[in-house]
Formats: sequence, structure tokens, C-alpha cells
Amino acid sequence: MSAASGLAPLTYTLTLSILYTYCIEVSCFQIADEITIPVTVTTTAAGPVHHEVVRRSLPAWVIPGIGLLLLGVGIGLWASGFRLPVYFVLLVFVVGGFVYGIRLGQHEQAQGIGAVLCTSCVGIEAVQHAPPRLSPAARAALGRIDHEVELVVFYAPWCHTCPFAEEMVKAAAQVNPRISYKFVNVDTDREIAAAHGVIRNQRTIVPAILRADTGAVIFGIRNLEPRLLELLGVGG
Amino acid sequence: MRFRLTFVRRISQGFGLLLGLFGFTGIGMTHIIFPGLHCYACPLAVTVCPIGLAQNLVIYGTVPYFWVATIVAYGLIAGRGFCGWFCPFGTLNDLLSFRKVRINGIASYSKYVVLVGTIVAAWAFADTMFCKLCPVGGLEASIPYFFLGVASINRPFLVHLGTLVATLAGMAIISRFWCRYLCPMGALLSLFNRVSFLHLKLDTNRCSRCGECARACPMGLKPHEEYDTHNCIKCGECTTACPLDALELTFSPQIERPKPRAKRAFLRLGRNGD
Repeated sequence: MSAASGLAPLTYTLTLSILYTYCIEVSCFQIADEITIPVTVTTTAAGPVHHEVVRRSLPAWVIPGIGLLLLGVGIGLWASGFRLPVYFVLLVFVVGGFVYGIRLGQHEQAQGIGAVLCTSCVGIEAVQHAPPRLSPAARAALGRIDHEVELVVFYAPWCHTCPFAEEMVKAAAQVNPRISYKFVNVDTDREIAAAHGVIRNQRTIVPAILRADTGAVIFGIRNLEPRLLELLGVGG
Repeated sequence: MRFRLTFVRRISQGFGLLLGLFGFTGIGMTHIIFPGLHCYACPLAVTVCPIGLAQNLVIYGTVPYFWVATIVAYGLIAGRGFCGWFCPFGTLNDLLSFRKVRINGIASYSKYVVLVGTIVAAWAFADTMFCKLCPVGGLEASIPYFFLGVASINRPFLVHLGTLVATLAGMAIISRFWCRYLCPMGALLSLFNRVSFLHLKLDTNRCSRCGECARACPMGLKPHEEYDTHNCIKCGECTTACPLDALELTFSPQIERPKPRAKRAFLRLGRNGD
């Protein structure tokens, strides 16, 4: 709380009185309680007071509904032989769609979809539904790691292959606690992906596993176990 | 004049290919939706595939204002003209168009089945199912990524390769096979063929119904009877083939459209053939 609220810059104690009412069938009783809350008033400039403007947003169906109505009007006009108004309707679709779509950030969404390559989505790799299981040889190799290693898994929430890579890294970390890991969502943290070089030919490829200390990256999930061991320096 | 139209179309197709592979300049993915079928997973792509994006929007449950605006804008400008003048996969179809056979009218509606199936499958499986079968993806993503070390020879790769080989074989047997029967982007753009600014104009008084246009049409149409239908890619081959200049490729609103009187007159006279 700032001094702009009219209070001197001190620490105040607020007392909050609470009255509980308990009822068991028809018998009721009350418990009075008090909570003290210390509040410090500072002299820090609070800046202009912002009054939150409550915007009344339209129901979600209104604009698509208008679009469908316009579409019906356009088709009706065309069928009736009135061709010039159809161009007007189509121009409304173009201008309205661009303005409203860009306002909603749909152009960014389109770019994001194009910029992230999910290997399974476009049919470069098959989706693995079964969780990965490390082989005994891989477990033994992972156990030999005697220094701290951090792995970063780059994923997208809509990527069907990514969970397999995530689970593989988790399983490796369970075998050897020296292996730590973190997950980076490329939809929201593309800059991190760019900074770590998880981009090939201008495209962020998911899933990707980065070894933080060496900067080495592996993409996709094909033959993941041997490639992961190689990434960790304990491959065959 | 005739040579010039073909030359201009080749230049335009070259620009389409250039836009498709503009990633060689080092610029990343842009906000532009490509006016044709072009895989956004292509290592050199800088534009977004309209069909891939549509599937993703269905999966996300997004009302696609930006996408609709783009498609309507493209449709309004040229309709399927983009197939004939710009689409790199259409250009590949052109290069393999050895046999200009007549189109099967009913079978040509299968592209709408592909379009609807693509959208329904994306919704039902919450996945980009068409992309896994798309021959363009096989050509522009699977094969390049195989050489980049990201893809390997596995089942999805072989499926992509299979659809690509089948499509290429289809193109060699039937000119513009993919564009005629299977392209979902062609199906989308065809909805605007009757309103697009780029369109064919037929002078029925000049037309002698010699059939030269039908012989030149890579889509296997009879332009003197059925110009600007959903199958017409507005390539203009018919205009260059017409000895009487009865057909003209023009860029204007289709306010006045001559009704297909030619066919009715032809039937009334009881004459035969093209």
C-alpha cells in the first residue's frame, strides 16, 4: 500500500473479525475469531491510478454467426443474379477477417505453426504411444556418468511424439541422479530454442534434446536410446 | 502474343517456386499463407501451407478469421488460377503432363471429398492426418529431412514416398492428375472460380466449336462449353490454342457472364463432336 492512499508511511495492524456459524441439524452456535494482518505503508510512488475498464465482450458465436449470415446472403445474391453485391460481401470477408484475425494474433499463430516442425505431425516419424523402456545395457551406461549433466527437452503441447522424448529423459534421470532435466515449450519460449540452436533451417524442430554443457542437440525420437547415450558421452 | 502468355505463365510459376523455396535466403517463417499446396515443413519454406494450417486450426478449435480472409482474397484474385500460374506442385504436374485425356466429371468431385475428409480427420483424430499422406510433404519434407539426418527410412517415410510415387505415376498417365481429382487446395480455390477476377471470357459469336481448346486443355475440359468451372485452372492454354481468338484470359469482376448457349445451340443443331 502506498502513501498515496492517504495514510502516513508506517506499519499498521489491521484486525479482521470473523464470525463462524456452525449448525448441526437445528442447533446452531457461533465462534468469534480475529486475525491480525500487518500492513506497511511506503512512500514509493505508486504511479497513476488505473481504473480497470470492464469491456463487454461479444458472445463467441456472434462474429462467426455474422460471417455465416453474410455467406448465405452472398450465395443468395449470386443465385439471384446480383453479382456486384457478392464482391462487396467477399470484400467484407477479406477486410473483416484480416483485421479481426490480426487483432486476435492469428497471423502470429499461423507463423508459429509454420515455424515449429513436429516430426510426427508431418509424417517424418511415427508416433510412439508406449512409454520408453531403457535396456539394461543403457541403464548400466547411464550409471557410469560421474559428473553433472543437464538435458533440456524442447517440446510443443500439440506434438504427439514429444511425450516419448520427455519420458525417455525422465527415465534416464531416474537411473542416474546426476542427470538433471528441464522442459521448454517452444510455443511460448521460442527465444530459448533460438538461443540454444535448436533450430535447423530456420525451423524449430520438436522434440529436440539439448545437452546444456556441450550444446549438442538430437532431434526426433528414432533410435532415441543409443542417440541419447551418445549425447551423454556414454554411447557404444 | 500466344507465345508471350505461355512465357509469362512459366515466369509466374518460377516465382511460385521461388516463393516456396525462399528459405535459402536465410529468412525464417513468415505470416504469409501460401496460395497453393506447399509443405510448411519444407526446410526452405517461408510460407504456411493453407491445408496444414487449416488442420491445426481445427485441432485447436480456432475460428479461422485470418485463414478465411486469406483464402477468400486468393479466391477473389484468381480462384484456381493459382493452380495454373503459381503452385509449385501444379508446375510439377505440368512438367509431367504427357497425356491430355478427357476429365471424368464425376470423379473430379473427389477433391471435395479429400478436402472434407482432411478437415473431418483432423477433428476426429486431433492430428494432421492429411499431412502424413500428402505427396507434397513427401517431396518437400520427408526427402530433404532424410538427407538432413532428421528423417529415416521408417513406415511414415515409406507411406509418404508411396503416395508421392503413386501421384507422380498418376500425373504421367493423366495430365494434372493431382489437380483434377485429389488436391484439397484446388477444391478450396475452385469455390471462387465463378467470381475470381482472373477468368476466361468466351466470345460465342467467334467460337466455331473446332475443339482446339479442348485438345490443349491440361485439365481435360472443353473450354468452349464449360469454362471457369470448378476444374478450370485458368492456365490460358485454351486461349493460345484457339485459332479464332474466341477465348480470352482477362482480369476483371465477372459481372456479366455469357450463359453456355453454345452447348444448347450445338445440341439443337445436332452437330457432333469438338
